[in-house]
Order: sequence, then structure tokens, then C-alpha cells
Amino acid sequence: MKARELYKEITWRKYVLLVLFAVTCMLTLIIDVSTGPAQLPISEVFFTIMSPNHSDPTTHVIVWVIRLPMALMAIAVGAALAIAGAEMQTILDNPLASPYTLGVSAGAGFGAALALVLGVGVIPHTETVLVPVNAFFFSMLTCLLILFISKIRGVSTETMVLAGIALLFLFHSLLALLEYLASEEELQAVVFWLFGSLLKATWPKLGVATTILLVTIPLLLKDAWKLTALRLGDEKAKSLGLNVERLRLKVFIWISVLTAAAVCFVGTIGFVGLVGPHIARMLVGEDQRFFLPLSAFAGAVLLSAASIGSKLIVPGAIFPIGIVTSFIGVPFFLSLILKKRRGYW
Amino acid sequence: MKRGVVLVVLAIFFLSLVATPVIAVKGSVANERNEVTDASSDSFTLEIYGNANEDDTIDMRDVTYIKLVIFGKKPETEFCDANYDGRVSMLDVVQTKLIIVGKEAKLTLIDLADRTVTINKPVDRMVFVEGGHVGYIIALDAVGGEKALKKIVGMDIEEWKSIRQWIYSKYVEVYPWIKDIEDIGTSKALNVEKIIKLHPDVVLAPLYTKERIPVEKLEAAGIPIIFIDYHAETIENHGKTTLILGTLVDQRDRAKALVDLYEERVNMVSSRVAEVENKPKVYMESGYSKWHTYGRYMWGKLVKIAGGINIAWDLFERGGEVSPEYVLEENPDVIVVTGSYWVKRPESIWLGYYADEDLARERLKNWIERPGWSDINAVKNNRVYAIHHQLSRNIWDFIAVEYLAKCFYPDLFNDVDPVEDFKNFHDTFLSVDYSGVWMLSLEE
Repeated sequence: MKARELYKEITWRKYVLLVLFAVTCMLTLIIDVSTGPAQLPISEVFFTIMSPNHSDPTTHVIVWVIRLPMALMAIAVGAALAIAGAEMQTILDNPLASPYTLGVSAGAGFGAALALVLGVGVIPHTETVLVPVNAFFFSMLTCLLILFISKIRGVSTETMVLAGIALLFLFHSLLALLEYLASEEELQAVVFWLFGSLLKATWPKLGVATTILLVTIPLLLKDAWKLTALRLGDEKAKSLGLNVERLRLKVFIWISVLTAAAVCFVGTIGFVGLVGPHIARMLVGEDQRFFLPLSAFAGAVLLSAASIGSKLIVPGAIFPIGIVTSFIGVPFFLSLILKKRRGYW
Repeated sequence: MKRGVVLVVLAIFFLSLVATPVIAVKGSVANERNEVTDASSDSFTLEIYGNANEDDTIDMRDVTYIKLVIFGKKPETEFCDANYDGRVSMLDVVQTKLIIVGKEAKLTLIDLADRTVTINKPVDRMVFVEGGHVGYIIALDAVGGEKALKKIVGMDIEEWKSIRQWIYSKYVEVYPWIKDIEDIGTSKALNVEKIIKLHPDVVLAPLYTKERIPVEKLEAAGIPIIFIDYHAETIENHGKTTLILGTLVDQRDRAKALVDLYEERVNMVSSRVAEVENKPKVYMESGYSKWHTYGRYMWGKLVKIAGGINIAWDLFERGGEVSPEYVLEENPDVIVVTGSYWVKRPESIWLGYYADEDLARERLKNWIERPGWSDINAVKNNRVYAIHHQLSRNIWDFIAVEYLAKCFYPDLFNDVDPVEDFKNFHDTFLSVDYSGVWMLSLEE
């Protein structure tokens, strides 16, 4: 039938893109694990991964304790941020929505600074635990505040976006206050946290982030058609039988947890959550069945590539990854904008 | 076609945008490499007007030199013009003689920021910017003792109390009136009005604060500012700064003795390590946050002076976060971690006047427990040490140089006892007594 063929024609290209990005993701992961100041040949890296018990102890530590968690964290966090951004843009009907622009990352930064400068935290503990816990708590707090404000004024896109931006400014100012009060060393610690870093990735942290990611994705995909319908506009979606407010709330809570989990371990990495979804949208459009996974892959590839970049710029030192994501992402993003004939929103 | 051209132009634009900071980063790394400061490079010039023969002191030889210049027998130098009036005349001879006996009314000098500053003598009221925070007050004490410290009418007292609690307590124990010195804030938020109201004769400030403090405002109020510097870790800056301090508080001889001692000890170390072929690889870490290391600045520089190869020398100009992989790969022979009484860092190594040796050693042991570190040479051979963070960038950092040299070359320096030297330094120059733990090795 003509319609069936037409449908196949439209969708097979999207499937191909998904596979392409997935493969690119694997590639960047492999390159990421193989690069680093210790110039290990790829064969040795694979050997250490395949038979961990028979490898040289130093190489084992380098690959298993340092490189693998970092590389896998890049994939997980990149995917998480991009998914969060994708759904934020979907439910808020706003191309500028992202974990960064809605103040969630700013809240996390404030929580981390609170731990680093004042030693104050939600639970009394050492700094290594305190910083991520604080960051998680304050990102969740930001999201809950947005939800609370929305509940009062009606869960509309406008309210949520404005509330998010207000909180962004609030937390940025509070953060600046803490930076002002900090000593030189504390200030340096805060600034470095804000740059974003995969260095503190460990297997347990990776476990937490990945678990939350793997739980959230199926939940979102289950509602894929509903979310796609949301893009028709509130009235049309309602007329199709959707409870728009409930969907918005539900999804927002899930992505709050996802964002908090991603940001609390890694710091504020601002570009991925905004642009990963845009790249995906330009390539496969609004159909959530493709848009969501492709956003995840785009984010993962972006962060993974940035991780490789941050190791190469000054070999031996760790260049802040938050800086590299923009350098890699912006040119690519701009080229997409220029190439597109029809509108991208 | 046009779209393609725009694309290419934008691509080039962005590539250059990206490339510039990257090249700048790499460039600064390469440039500084050549600026290896030889610690044994001797005599710097004392840049005070009156030091006609441009050595490191003002004495009768300068008077003679000026007279010879007036008679046309010697070339004129910049500092012949002792009274800074633009001519070399007998008035300069008079001024120089006054300086020698400490009775000059005015003095002109060049500070560490290369500014020419004229001050009125004697100096009775001084404001000391960040004297507490980075500890330059210790140098003032070493040069002038109680009399010099009593001249301080304003300093960052609150910051000193909070950042260097133990050192502050020691000084307050000996001089309780220190508590009452007016607090003027740190260079980030300097209370300029208070400074002006205090009517100081001179304001002293570390060189790194130059961009932060409103120099013009103070000068407009008629208050001269002198920038001093110990951060560069060079004999030249240490010497110039100490001698300027000595001149300000009329303790030129004591300042000279201090500088001579400093030069002698550092040169002793440099000359001994100059011959050595196999220098040890050293990983120098800030005990404030893990993986923070120094390049060619502060502790990184001191490591080099003491004859070690700082594995992060080429990575940073000042300091930064090193990759854990890099440290494992470099496999350093010696690891040194700095420590201090950092209250908010309960895992850090607490060293200082009231330190407990067993606790500090325990902390050091835990601090170096990281994956893969048990295979590093330094850890295998028990060559892990801790040293007090504030021993750097001050006139007493020759003690740090001695200790580091001893860690790197135990046999070569087995006649040197840094702890003993530090005790003697306290007895000879400082108002407080030595106590506590300032240097520590992991092995008992």
C-alpha cells in the first residue's frame, strides 16, 4: 500500500540514524578508554579488559579504576543530560529549556559550594560524600520548587519556565555570595567543581547514575506517543484525551531525578542538555520513539568526544570537560542550523 | 553556493576561536620552560636611591662612588641620585650619609612592581595588606621584631585568625595587643576608607594583589604603597623584599643578615645538587585537595631548587589538577604532600605549632591510599613526606628547600638538620618559639 511504503520510507532513515549514532557512541567509548597520559597500546587495553586477572597491575588500575569508569560515566551522564533536556523541551514547549537553563545545575552548584566552602551539608559526612549528596539534594529542591510554584499558578509551560529561570538567577547569586566568602583554596575548589569533571567517577557512582538512567528510559518510552502528541499543543493534545497537566508533572519528576543524578557526580556541564536534543530533533524530528533515543546517543557522543578532547589538550593534566563540550558542540550545531532548509523548531 | 561559503567561513572562524586559547595554553607552557631561574644566581641590586654602586647595600662605598661621579671619574648610575631630584650633586652625598646612619627624612626606592615610590621617614604607622593571609607578617617580624610589628596599624586580622589559626594564636600569646590591630579586610574586599582614616605612613601589599586594590585612590590620599613579593621564589625577590622591609623599619643590618643567611643556605643546596646526575622524580601535591599539584610556581619551584624533577613542571605554569593516570605513569621516586591546620578539611595533614605528630602521620598514611599507588616507587620505598604549606613563599622557605633536598638526597645532606635550623631561626629572628611539627616523613 502506498501509505505503508511511505511510512517505511520515512522511518527507515531514522532507524539508520539511530544505528549510526549508536555505532559512533561505541567508537568514542573505545577511543576514550584507549587515550590517556599513559600511552597504552590498544591491544594492551583490550587484554586488560578481557582478562583482568592476568594483566600488569599498574595497567589494570589505569584501565579499570581510572579510564573505564570515566569513559562509561561520560556516556551515562551525556545520555542522561540530553534525555532530560529533550523532555524538558517537549513538555515545556520551549527550545531553550534544559537542565542548565532551568536552574537545576545552578542549584547543584550551590549545594556543592555549600559543602566546599562552609562544610555544611544535609547529612554530616566527609567532603567526598557531602558534595554529591548536597548537589543532588539541591537540584531536586530546585525541581520541586518549580513544581510547587507551577501547582499554585497552574501547570502551564510558561509558569514552569519562568519559575525555572527565576531559580537560576537566585542560585547563581547565592553561589556568587559563597564564592565571595570563600578563601582562595575554597574558591578554587568551587570553580573546579563548576567546570565539570569526570575524574571523580567511580564504579559505585556509575552504578547509581546508570541505574537511574535505565529505570527512567523505559518509563519515558512507555509514554512516547503521549509525549509526541503533546507537541501538537495543549488544546489538541487534550482533545485527543491526554491529561496534559498530569503528564507534565510526571515527566518533570522523572527528569528531575535523572538530572540530579547526572549533575551531582560530575558538576555543571552546560551544553549537552540543550543541544543534544536539538541535534536529534533536526535529524529525526519530533517522533519521541526516535527523538528520545537519538537525543540520548547525541548527548553521549558529545560528552564522550569532549572527554577525549579534555585528555588531549594538555597531556598529563585534566582540562575541564565543561569547556570542551562547547568547543566541540557549537560548530557542529551551527553547521546543522545553516544546513537545515525548513524550520528546526 | 553562498550557503557553502558562509559555512566554510564560520568553520574557519570557530576553529580559530577554539585554537587560540589552546595555543595560548601550550604557548605559556613552552615559554616558561626557558625561564629557568637559577637559584644560585647571585647578588641582586638593592633598588633604593642612594645605592650608587648598585650592590646589595648602602654604605660608605656608595658615598665614595657618588663623589667620584661628581668628579667625572665614574659613570653615573640610576641610584646615584639619592634624593631623587634629577641631578647628582653633593646633596646626594648628604642624603646617602643620612641613610647610612638611619636619619634620612625622605627615601626613594623601586618596589617589586617596578614602581618608584618616595616615602617619608621614619615610618611609624604601616598598613599591611594580606600580611596575615599569606604570612608576610612573619618576614616583618624576622626583620624588625616587636618594634616593627608595633608599627602595624591595620592588617587582615580576621582572615589571619581564620586561615592560619595556629600561627595567629602563637603571636597573640606573645603580643596580646595584636588582637587589637584594626582589620582592613583582604585584597578581595579592601576597606579603603578605613585605611585612609588610619593615616598610615606607608601601605605594604603583596605583588599579586596589585590589580585588586585601588592604588590610585590611596595615592590620591597621599599614602604611598610599596609592593613586595616572596611568591616568585627567587633569591632576587626575596632579597629585595627583605631589604626593603629592613629599610622601612630601620633594621637594615638585621635584614641584611637575614638575606645573607637565606642566600647562603639556598646556594649551599643548589651547588651540591648541581653536580648530581640522577635526579629523583618528585610528585608534589597540595594537601588541601587531592591531585592539585604545582608547575613552575611556589612548591613546584622549590622542588626544582632542591634538585628534584617535578613531574608536573611542564604541565602548568602555576598549578592545576593532574591526571591520576599521569602520576601512575610517571612513577615518582618521592612524593611530598603539604599540610597545615585546615579546620574545614578533616582529612588533611595538620602541621604547625600545635600539631600532633602521630595524628599527622596517620593522616598522611590515609592521604596516599589510592588505587595503584602501592606500586609507585615512592610508596614502595617509603619515600613519602609532608611539609608545612606556609613554609613556602616567605623568607623562611630556605628551611623548606633544605628539607626537600634532604628528602631527595639523604646521603648528600646528612649533615644538614632542617628542624634544628628552623629552631635556630626562631631563636635568632622570630618573636615566637618553635613548637609542634612542620616536616614529617611517613616512615618513623
